[in-house]
Amino acid sequence: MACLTPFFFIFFLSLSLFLSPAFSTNSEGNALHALRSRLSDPTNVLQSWDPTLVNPCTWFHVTCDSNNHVIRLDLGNSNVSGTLGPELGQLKYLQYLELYRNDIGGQIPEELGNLENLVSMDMYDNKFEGRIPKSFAKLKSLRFLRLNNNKLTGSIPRELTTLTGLKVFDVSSNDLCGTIPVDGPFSSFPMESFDNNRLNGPELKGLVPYDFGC
Amino acid sequence: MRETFRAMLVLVAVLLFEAAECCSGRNTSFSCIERERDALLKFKLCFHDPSHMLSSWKGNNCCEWIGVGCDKNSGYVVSLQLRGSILDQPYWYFIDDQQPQPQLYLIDDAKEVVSSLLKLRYLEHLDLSNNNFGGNLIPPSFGLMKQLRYLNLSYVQFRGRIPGELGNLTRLQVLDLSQYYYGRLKVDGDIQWISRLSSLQQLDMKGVNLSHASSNLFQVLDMLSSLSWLNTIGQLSKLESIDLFKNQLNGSIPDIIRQLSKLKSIDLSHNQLTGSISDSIGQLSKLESIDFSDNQLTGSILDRIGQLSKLESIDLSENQLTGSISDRIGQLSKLESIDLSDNQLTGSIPDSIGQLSKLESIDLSHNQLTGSIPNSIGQLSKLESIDLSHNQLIGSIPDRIGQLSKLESIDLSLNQLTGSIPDRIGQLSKLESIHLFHNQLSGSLPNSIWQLSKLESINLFENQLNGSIPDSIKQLSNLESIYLSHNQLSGSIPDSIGQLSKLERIYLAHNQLSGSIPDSIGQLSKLESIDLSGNQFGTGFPKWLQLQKTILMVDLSNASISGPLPENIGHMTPMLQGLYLANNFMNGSVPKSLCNLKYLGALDLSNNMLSGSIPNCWRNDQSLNFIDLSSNNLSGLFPSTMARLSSLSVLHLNNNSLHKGLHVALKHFTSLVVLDLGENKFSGNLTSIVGGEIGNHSLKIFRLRKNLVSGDIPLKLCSLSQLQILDLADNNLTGRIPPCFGKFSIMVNATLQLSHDMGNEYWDEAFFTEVLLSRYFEYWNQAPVMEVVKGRYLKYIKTTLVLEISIDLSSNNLIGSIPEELIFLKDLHNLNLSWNHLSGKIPEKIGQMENLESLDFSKNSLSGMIPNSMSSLTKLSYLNLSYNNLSGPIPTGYQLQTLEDPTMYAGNPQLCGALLLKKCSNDTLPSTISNFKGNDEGALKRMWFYIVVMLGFATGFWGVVGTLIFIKNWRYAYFQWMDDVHHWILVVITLKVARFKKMFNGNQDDQ
Repeated sequence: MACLTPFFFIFFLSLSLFLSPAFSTNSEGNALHALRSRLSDPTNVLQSWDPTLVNPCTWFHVTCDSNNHVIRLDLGNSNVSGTLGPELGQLKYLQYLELYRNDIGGQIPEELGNLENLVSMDMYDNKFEGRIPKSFAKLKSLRFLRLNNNKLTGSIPRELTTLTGLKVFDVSSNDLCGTIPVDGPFSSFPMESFDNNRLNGPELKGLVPYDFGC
Repeated sequence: MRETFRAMLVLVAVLLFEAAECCSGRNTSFSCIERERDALLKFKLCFHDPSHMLSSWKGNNCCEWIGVGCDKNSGYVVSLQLRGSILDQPYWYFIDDQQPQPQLYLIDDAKEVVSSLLKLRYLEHLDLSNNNFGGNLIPPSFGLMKQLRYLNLSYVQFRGRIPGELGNLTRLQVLDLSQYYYGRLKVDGDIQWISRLSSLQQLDMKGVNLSHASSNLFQVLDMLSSLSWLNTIGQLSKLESIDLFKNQLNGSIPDIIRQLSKLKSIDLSHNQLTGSISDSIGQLSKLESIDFSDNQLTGSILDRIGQLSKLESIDLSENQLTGSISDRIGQLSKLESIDLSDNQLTGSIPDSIGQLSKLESIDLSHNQLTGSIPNSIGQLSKLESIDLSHNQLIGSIPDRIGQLSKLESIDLSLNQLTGSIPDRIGQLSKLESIHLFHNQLSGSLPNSIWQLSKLESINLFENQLNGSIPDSIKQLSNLESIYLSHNQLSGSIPDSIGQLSKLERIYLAHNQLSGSIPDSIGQLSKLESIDLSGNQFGTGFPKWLQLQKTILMVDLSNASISGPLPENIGHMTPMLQGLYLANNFMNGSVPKSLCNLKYLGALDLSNNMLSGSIPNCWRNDQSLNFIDLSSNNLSGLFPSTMARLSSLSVLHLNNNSLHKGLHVALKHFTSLVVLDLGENKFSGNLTSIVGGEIGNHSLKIFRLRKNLVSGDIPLKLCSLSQLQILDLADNNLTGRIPPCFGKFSIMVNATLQLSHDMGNEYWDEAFFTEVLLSRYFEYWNQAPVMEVVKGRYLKYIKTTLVLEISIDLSSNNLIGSIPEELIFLKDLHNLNLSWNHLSGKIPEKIGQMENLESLDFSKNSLSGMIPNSMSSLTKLSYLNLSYNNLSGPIPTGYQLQTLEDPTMYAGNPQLCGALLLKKCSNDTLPSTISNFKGNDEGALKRMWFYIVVMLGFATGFWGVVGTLIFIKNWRYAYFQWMDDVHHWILVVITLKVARFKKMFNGNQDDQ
């Protein structure tokens, strides 16, 4: 009996691998549809988001890869408002999350940290509030993170210094406090990226607490 | 024994004769007044009487004439009952030529009628209903018949204004002026006269236009501050019923209604009443029936209505009522029927509903009710029908529903009910229809359900029911329709289904049924439609269809059917309207006999292995609307006789091997919406394919992709004003892109088309029926269209097909430049001009195409810079400009900064930018300028800021330091002052520290 255990393990593993694409496309469509229900859409940019379709790949502003996984969500400058929900975290294959120049508010969901393939997150020019989720430190592929012109508070999570691939980081014009990390990619970001906040200059390890002034 | 029996019979006969004589007024002891007889004869002359209704009106004794009633003692005529033959019907009942045949036709002036009647001075009861007064006005002289107690002028086709003189009929108890045709009769201006009818008990004005009564009845009341209509109704204190059905009333229900204390019944249905149902209704304690249906009433209900202890029936359906159903509803102990459907009620169904012990029918459908169905519903022992459909109810179906032994119909569909269908449902032996579709019911179908022998309709589709259909289905001998589609049923269809001789509709689609389709279905002589699609039967084309002479719809798509279509199918099933056999393994040819099916509207044979040529025998008496023969192995010519199908709107012949010269001539296909000829071997010249003048054409989708079509793109295409997908890719087209492409009006403004054909209301019931019975008839978007978008072959269907707007001219031999005019297509989503020989520049203002998501200009000879405006295409998610001769910097900013795959710019050696190996030199720095202003403005501002800061610093610093350097006295004074301050600070700090120490020590001592 014991010798069968690895067999079953492999069997179920391969089964789940085999079945996963079929499930995930559906769940991605559902996640996007859940997003639609949270957003107010006066100019009908989400009109094509029909949940009865097999997958969301023909929906406007959604792009899939050849396995019908959602890799882009392009809703920049789309006149939508409302909030984001945890279901966005289910878009496991998402590379580009473009929500800039809208009227979206509320907290940035912690679950966005699950988007492990994310390359670019553009949420600038919205009304997001609350903290920058620490979970963003899990976005190992992230190269562009633009959160400027929102109402974000709290400090810049120090955990983001582990994002070695980060090329652009812009949190200007928010209500952030504390000090600015200097490690990792943060050594190369221009000061403009941090303008117009309540930030107290670069981090002075040991001398001043990291979230000094928060 | 026999003798006595006969004697009794005689006696009974005599008594009956006497009684009859007495009742018919045929009493010889009195005869009619001569003057009155003359008047009646004069009355008779006013009419044409084809049905001889007044044939008895001759001879001396007018009291013996049919319809005439005299006073026994005096001999005066007191009643005239000249009702036409048709009984009381709602006014709409006779619309469309079904006008009743009245018996008397007025040929004289209506005034003459009245003047003759006026001579009957004791006439109390006058019924002229259902006769034809030929559109005359009501003569005001009716008002002179003051002795009248009953006046019925309903359905006599009077027209115009009701004369106020009727207000003189002060003894009137019943006034009926109802009309078949709404609005022919109207109340004008002053309506005070009604108030003088102080004896009135019943006022019936169905179909009378009251909207002109100084705009509307109730508003008038409010405007005339003191009396008028307010008092008008108020004075009618004896009124027992109001019936103002369909009178185009607007305004709100007046508070004054409370004065009508004797009111038993009120019907204000089918008006445009607004406002809330005022509390005053609660004071009408004698009210037995309320009908306010089909108005625009708002606010909440049933708060005070709980006081109406005599209420038997209440209908508030089709309003905009909100709030929840009050718990007090349980106080309406006499309630027999309640209809609150089609409102916006929220909250849960109150438990107290179980107290309504006399309730026979309840309809709460089409609201937003939440919570679960109360268990107490099991107490409603007299309930015959229950409709809670289209709400947001959760939980399971109460088991106690099995106690409702009188239940005939149950509808809980379109909710979120879970759990299984209770087994006790089998106890509802009178059940005729059960509708539970679109819920989340699971478990197997209860076996007891097959015992409900009176069941006519069973509708359980869109649930998660499993199990199989048992042989015992044959017990449902009254079954007319069975809808079990979209469940998880397995096993095979029982042979015994053939015994259900009344069966008209079978829908078992999208289950896991297998085995063979029983031949016994052929015995179902009333079968109209059968949908078994989405199962795995794995049989040949069913033979039983030969026996189905009257069948209308057959859907066996996606059902693993193999083998050929019978050659004589067109003769087997002459009534067929829809034949769906897509996604099977059918081979053989497309039968010629299909051309004989006169009523066939939809034919879907797509995705099979059919071969041979398409029959070219189509006839103009066929009603084909939808033809999909795509993805087969069909060859040969384009079936030009399809041009005779005048209602053809969707034609998919794509993905076959059709070849030879193609001459479609669009002008012959006048109602075509989708023409998909892609992926074939058609050759010929595009100009001749399109044909002559197109005119105002309905074509939305034109696909010729992947054929061998040649020639220039004809300018005539530009007149296709509804066009939204144009796919001519992968042909041998030559010449230039016509600049008039910029005029495709849907592509310029998509909102021009969307209103009428959105298929979004999927659960709309009407749509549901439509989809089931004739899926493709009106819905051109139900078959997929393939398009290359964002570098991938995508299948557009339903909503996305309706919305997709695309031009694909790729892989041709087009020359010349990209017309500037294309930038006007601001709702275009996809533009693909790749693999041509286009030259010149990319249009400078391409940024105006603000809805572009996918743009491919690759493999051309385009030159010049990439326009900066491209960075304002914020919806762009796919861009390919590779292999051209483009030069200069790649614009950046906003959306373009998210498109960072360098291959999209490859093969343009003169391009430079951050993404490429070749970086831009300083003089051609990439500009981030876009149509969003403020970016460069900000840079300028920032520069000024720094300059000002530098200047400020210089003047401030050197102003102080400079003076100190150059003026000795000031320098000494400054350093002296600094020393003083320094000392002062030291002293102060020492003092403070000393004081604090002292205080601190003192505190410690205290402890």
